[in-house]
Amino acid sequence: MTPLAATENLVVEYRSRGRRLRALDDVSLALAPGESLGIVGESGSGKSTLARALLALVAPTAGLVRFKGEDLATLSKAALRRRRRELTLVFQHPAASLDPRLTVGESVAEPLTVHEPALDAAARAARVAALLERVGLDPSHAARRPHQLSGGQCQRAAIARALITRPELVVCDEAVSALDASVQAQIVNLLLGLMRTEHLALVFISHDLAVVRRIASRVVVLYRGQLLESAPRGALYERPRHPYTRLLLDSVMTLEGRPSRAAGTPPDVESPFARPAGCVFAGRCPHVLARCQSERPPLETTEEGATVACFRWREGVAR
Amino acid sequence: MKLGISARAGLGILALTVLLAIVGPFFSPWHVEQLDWARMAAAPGLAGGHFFGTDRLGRDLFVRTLAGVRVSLSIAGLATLVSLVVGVGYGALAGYAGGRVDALMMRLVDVLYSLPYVFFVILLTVVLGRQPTTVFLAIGAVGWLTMARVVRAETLRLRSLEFIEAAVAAGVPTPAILWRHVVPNLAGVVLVYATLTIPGLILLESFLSFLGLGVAEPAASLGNLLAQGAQEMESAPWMLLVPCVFLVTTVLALGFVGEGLRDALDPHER
Amino acid sequence: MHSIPMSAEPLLAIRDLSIAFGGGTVAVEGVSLALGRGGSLGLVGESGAGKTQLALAIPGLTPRAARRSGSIRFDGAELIGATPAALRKLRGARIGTIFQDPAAALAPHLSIGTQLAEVLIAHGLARGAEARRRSQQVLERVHVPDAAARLRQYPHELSGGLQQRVMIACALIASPALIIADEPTTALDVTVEAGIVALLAELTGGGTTALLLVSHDLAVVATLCDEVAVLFAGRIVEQGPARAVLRAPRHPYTAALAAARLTLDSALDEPVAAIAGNPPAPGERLRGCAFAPRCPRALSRCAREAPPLVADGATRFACHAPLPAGTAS
Repeated sequence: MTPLAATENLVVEYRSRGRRLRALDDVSLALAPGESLGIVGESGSGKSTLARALLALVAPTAGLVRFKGEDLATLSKAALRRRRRELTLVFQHPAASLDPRLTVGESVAEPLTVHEPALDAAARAARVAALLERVGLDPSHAARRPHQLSGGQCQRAAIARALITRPELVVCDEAVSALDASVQAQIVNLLLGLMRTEHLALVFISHDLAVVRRIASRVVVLYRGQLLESAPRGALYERPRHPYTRLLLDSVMTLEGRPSRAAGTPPDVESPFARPAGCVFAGRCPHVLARCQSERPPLETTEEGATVACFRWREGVAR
Repeated sequence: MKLGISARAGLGILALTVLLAIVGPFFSPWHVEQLDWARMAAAPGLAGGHFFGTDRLGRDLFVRTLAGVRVSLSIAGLATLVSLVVGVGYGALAGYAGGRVDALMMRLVDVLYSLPYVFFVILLTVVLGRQPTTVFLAIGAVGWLTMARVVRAETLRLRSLEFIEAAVAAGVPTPAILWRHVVPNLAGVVLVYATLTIPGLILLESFLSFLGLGVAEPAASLGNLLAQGAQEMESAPWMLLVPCVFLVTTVLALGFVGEGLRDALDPHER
Repeated sequence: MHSIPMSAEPLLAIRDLSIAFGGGTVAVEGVSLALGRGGSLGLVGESGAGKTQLALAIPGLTPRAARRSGSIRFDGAELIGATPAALRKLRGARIGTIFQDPAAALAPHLSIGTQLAEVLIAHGLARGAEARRRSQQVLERVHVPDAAARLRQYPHELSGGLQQRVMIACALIASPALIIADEPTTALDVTVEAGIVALLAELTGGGTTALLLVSHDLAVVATLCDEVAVLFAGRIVEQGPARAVLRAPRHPYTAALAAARLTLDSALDEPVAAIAGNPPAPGERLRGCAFAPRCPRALSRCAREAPPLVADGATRFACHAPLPAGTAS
């Protein structure tokens, strides 16, 4: 079956003051229709760049991004615009992603003006009202401006906007990270419900492992632009293979209040422009070998269908 | 939109001045170019209906000053309108396009900025003659430059905001993004800046007229009234004082209004 | 963390503190807290609950428009109504502050060394070479690698985690009795956060420096603090030993906050235990209990009367229908 969305050896580089920054370095992944994929990474991991590459908001320097089998870079402007109705994005900061000068209703309706211009104002308003109810907002909120709504309400509106064209894939870039815990929980429930009823595929990007675990059925771990591990949820959380995944899991604190095992790991002090010859995690890895510094470990597949880029994964270093 | 006290006062003063400039002459029997042989260089008073006195040629200063206010404000106002349309369009395009297009467009602005201005005005005057149109062109040609820079900077800032990215992600075409998202969010900055530009343009016109390059006699503008007044400063001080008071008051009032608008519209203050 | 026997008067004693702004908005209402020397207290709550306003009111860092009433006693001296000069002497020297966004809190145009030394120089504690020596020393204490070289660097040359360590160093350099940390790890990556939390534990666990931690993250508070106070709509709704309160809360809001957290062990087949409705707007005044509209245990009494804080052992809570003691969350 053709994956709904996929990247093949994707490389994205930015130029900054004459230097090149490799935000994504040879990342390949695939997503089936209706599947939820979690992308976990910290700052500098390239996760936001990956979100934008999937939506063709940023052009690949090398490699491909496919949607429904087509290479997005080869599409004409008009064809790409048509694809945008099937492929939408929810941003991190709820109020910032809505134009402060427009009412919520106008922001939510905007994709319709682009993709379904035949609709008249009344029809659009009806669609907006129906969708606002679906995401848990009172339809009267359509007349309000973003600054009159709470963070959770703004994010619901942003989700409504992402859904109004009935897309097949929604990319959520840290969509719940800026929300309070109680509101976060509401939005997570909303996304899970919508995935079921709208048959959506979801790419959920976050640094919060616990939230990703609840939403995604498969998880990919990025570090400094490289894919270090990819596994089905159960395997990743219970039997991680890569030392970095282990570090991430160890960093999560609990109400028990015990200091985390991750505390002793040296911080990442390398410049984001640095391109190490070997494994990108070698500088911080507690299990580093000499080989790790000079050779980049290839992606290998485990018996559980996971992939991991580490020379020592078979030894169970990530337990 | 809530405006502070000084802004409201400024608005009030401006309204009064404009009202006076339009209606005032009806209260005086004198005409702008009419000479009163009997009272030349007369001091302000009620004698002969010369509320503000007369100048060296016996022309009524009340009527002439109000005419000058009308001319100066119209020129500055029209030039601001031009700078709004041209400056906003140019700046928004440059800021949104970014990259080489932006660099090229702003280099052009830099070049125009660095032209020796008075020289340029002299050339224009030689070619077109001394008429209000020439002055208007001279001022309009440079008035939009700073507006373009300000708008470009603000557009650059807006462009990085998520709601613009969201519009791109939704497939909204670029002209629609500029028109529907960028320009309305520029309104605050543009409005404030335009209000603050007008005083500058009035002063520029006054400067040109003072130098003898602007509005020509016998027409009146605040600038040439000031020029004449300066010559007669010692013997007939009111000839300088009256246009001066009007100029200063108008510029100050506009300044207050501009500041008040900025405080009211600045989203960070909310 | 071990508890230190408190001397007769606590280091910080807040009594009935209220912070109000013009137009009737009340950020904090009737809060009373105490913190002993070397102790650690966490203020938890959602955004708009007033915890930052409360914490920053202590060194007098609230906006000028804020009107404070009540009493804040620090080391025996009353801070409300203290002269600006007196407050300035405290800030940096006796009370150190760590803010949420280190990139914004550190001056971009000054080197690290200059910013550290500035604290010492401003309080007349050291100058020149001595200030440089102590700056390097404090950087080493917060485990910044290559401390001597870092003194000459600028904030933008450092990663977020290192910037935060530098800010902690600035707060620490004059050996204050109290450190106020306002969401110190919220803007940091999760692996970096672990390091900062461990650092704070190390620095404040010894009993010489007290810590007042503001955070919306219950786990951070559970790890770093002996005591916790839960704020909702400007009032304290529950207060007591941190781990006991978080594990077996008495107030329904505390229980709901704990239950809404997603953890690595959360059930995968049930909806997340969200709290219905939205948090009240900051400063909004409500009749009766502010949580009543969203509380699963609300009685009719709750909407009419605001419940007072009552004590039960070491815990205090403000609720007409508290959860029974010993109910694990």
